[in-house]
Amino acid sequence: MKWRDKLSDMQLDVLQEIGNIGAGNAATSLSNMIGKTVDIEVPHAQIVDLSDLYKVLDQPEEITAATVVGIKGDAPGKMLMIFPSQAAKKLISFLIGQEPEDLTSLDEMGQSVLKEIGNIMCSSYIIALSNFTSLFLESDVPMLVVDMLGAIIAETSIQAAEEYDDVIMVENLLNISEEGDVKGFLMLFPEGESLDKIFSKLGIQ
Amino acid sequence: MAGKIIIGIGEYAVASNPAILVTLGLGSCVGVCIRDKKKRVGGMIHVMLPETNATTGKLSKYAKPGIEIMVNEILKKGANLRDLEAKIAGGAAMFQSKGFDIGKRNVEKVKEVLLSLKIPLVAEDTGQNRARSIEFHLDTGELFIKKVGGKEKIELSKI
Repeated sequence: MKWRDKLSDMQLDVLQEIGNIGAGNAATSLSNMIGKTVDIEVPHAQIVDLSDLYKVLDQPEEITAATVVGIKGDAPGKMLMIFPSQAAKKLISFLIGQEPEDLTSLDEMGQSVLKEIGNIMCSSYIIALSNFTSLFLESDVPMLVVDMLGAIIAETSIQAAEEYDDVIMVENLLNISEEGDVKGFLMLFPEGESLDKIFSKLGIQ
Repeated sequence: MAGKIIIGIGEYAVASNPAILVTLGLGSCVGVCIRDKKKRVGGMIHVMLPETNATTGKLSKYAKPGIEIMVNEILKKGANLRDLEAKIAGGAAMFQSKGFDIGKRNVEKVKEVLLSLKIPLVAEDTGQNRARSIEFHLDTGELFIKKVGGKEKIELSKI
């Protein structure tokens, strides 16, 4: 099955708007937590063939830290918060005052900081989505993974919708510019039936 | 230098020497590399899921019948079934998920399909929790594997 055959341009626009609202909420939460301004860029919703996934990523083998949060409830799915290695270390330092040396062997403290940031950001996003659609949604326990960017995105999208041959990515860039551009992004991966529910709640068929 | 052919998720490619087959970011997916050691023709498939009963759609996503489809094509290129050898990599559990382990199921299914085709599995690097990028050299049959190791370095190994 392909999303491309199912979704209209207008529905993609709606997803983009959902990304906008969700990420706005998430950025505010992050900003409150670290006491710095967090900018978000215009979200981008696109449908990518699984086989082309590596072509749309600039550096698929870049080492990144990602927090994966499952969405449970009326419209299940997955969310990812991703920060490349340097940015992830900066983020940790904002909260505990010191940068970890090595992301691949983070101590308990570093791990829980990244999980918690991911948890708070993804949950804020999910709450916004829930308010916007009046669907019951809640976030699952966050998981942390440090690995190659392409593999993290591929793995998450496969888990979200294994019967599909393409992926919907609603992507939001975040930037903490006062700290010399600490950039990361949030991504929403809806599961198969979830979009039908979201669109029907919003009255868009 | 031989040209590199990049294989996307759920796809496969078949080629004759000289060629290097590449696939990136295997998480729970399994890269299956099969080669005729004498004629040096072979292929690589990026398997996502164990099995399907469907007969249409993207069948190369599945170990069964994906591997069988690829082997047929390798044989059409002049390979002999008795000279084929397989190497596999992938099937990691990147997320500490409870319940079913899709990577492990993929590896098991791949091995089952290879056994049914009587293609010997000569080397494997599977399981654990890190993603892998792989390069299969049809000339030598070497399979190079990149993984994120300690100190944020990419580790290179060969099987």
